[in-house]
Amino acid sequence: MLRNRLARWSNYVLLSLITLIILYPMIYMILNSLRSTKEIMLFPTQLWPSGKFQWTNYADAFQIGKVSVYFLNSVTVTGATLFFQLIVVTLAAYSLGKWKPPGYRILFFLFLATLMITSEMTTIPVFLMLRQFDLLNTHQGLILAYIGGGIGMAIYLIKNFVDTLPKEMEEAAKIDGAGLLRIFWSIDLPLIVPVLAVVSIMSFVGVWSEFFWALITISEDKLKTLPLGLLNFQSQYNTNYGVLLAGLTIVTLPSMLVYLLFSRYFIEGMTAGSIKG
Amino acid sequence: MTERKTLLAYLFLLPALLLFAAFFLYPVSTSIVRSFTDWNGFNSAFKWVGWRNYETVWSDTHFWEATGRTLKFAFITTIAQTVLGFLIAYFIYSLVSERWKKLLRIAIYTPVILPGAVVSLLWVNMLSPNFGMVNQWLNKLGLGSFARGWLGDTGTAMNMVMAVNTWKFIGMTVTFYIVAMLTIPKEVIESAKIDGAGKGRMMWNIFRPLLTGITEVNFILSLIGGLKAFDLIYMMTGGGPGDSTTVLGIMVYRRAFLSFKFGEAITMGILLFIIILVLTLISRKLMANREG
Repeated sequence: MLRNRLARWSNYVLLSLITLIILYPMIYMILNSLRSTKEIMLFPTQLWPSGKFQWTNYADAFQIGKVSVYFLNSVTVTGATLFFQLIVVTLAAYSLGKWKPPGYRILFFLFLATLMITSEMTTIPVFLMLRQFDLLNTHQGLILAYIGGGIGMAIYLIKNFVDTLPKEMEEAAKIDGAGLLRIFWSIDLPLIVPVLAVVSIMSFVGVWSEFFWALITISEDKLKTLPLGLLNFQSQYNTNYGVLLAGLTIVTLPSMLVYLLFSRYFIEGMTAGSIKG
Repeated sequence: MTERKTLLAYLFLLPALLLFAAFFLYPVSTSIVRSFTDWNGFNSAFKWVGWRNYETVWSDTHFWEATGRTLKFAFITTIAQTVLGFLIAYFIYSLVSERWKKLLRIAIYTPVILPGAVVSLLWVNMLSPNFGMVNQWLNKLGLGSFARGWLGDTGTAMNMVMAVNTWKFIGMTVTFYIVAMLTIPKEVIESAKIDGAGKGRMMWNIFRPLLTGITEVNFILSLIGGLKAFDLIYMMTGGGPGDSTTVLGIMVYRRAFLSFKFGEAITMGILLFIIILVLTLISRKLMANREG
């Protein structure tokens, strides 16, 4: 009995330690984002600040650090990417899964094959293509690159879901004289909303955090997205740690919120393709 | 299938196919073609140079050093992630309290969601020589002699980026393992318990063999992730100090966007792709054999 209890306790101690290692940096980031540099340098860091919370760190990050500009850019780019990507992949996946036109197997295979291709093979030509169309240093170029890069996975997930759509409602609608588009829009589309949610959440987190494409296509400061803007921000606030950490916290919060609200969708999305395979 | 339906079906596919052509078909074929030219990426003029880019890259010692570093990075982070991930998943799985289980599962996945830029800058801050959290803790624990500029030291920079990479991505491995563990039938575990299997035996003789499938997925995902690593390293060290953290991703970026040798950069990209492909195939094969 005692041995059992001891084992259980040691389990919890070990796990608390692991959790601490995982979460400590994030707690450190959020707590210190409300402190002055002087307080941050004190050690050990008190859990509760001795002085007042430095909300000015956030104000400084937003205004002087231009996080407000980067934030707006990130919202625009992420929003537009999600909107257009969802339309494109939903139409394609629906067509492949439901209507199965001649050659649909080959087409589906092509979309799947994009998952095998590494970005090293595609980045430079796509970069040069964007340059040719004068899309460097524009949000449109960045958005296009994001939409294009993510279609394979999204089509795969949605098509698998479309395959399971029930037929009964459709038959009834056909008798009532509904056309193909009508069935798509009023009957099937509402049914695939759950998988669209999974796709958008995963896409959101990916695009919101994306760094490499932003780095190579955007050089004008006022067009930078948050991850890229943070680099400037870092050199600017090299010594003002509180403001730097406030900036980091601002970038993190949207993904964190989405994750905490929809955490079960992450597991669904992640495991959809891999567990069975 | 009516003609109208077929037409509509292709119409629905059109946007996705255009994107496929623009972002996969065109770039991959151009990559392969342009790797045989002396193209600098600026003017449209280029000459065929045959295998010259491949020869240049092949005989470039920097390329091989970067390849070595990339392999080291990928293998060490993959092994750390798989072994630690398995252990952590097992501990979480065997917890009694459902609430704790859920809480820990969410907590451990959080760093995976964090933007790479945030993770990098946060750790740069914590590893900073003067009042970084890590050195402060070492001083506090009386281990001050170990304190150093972790990322500015050629001896430790690589280890630090590997540690941070593992910290960020281990939640993915753990989650995959836990989800797979939940599919193991309870009877198997119960009967092993009745036979008196201890924790170690249980992990090694029951869980490990039953989870080979997911181990393979984890292994390959981490390996590919490690071979392509760019964000974290670029922001934490920029490839330095010296060349100590210059992995292939960083080298390709520098060749293309800083020295404008697009032909060579594309060639390196193709070689990196081949390395990834070969390693993936080999690891699949090895694991399939062990299973059989």
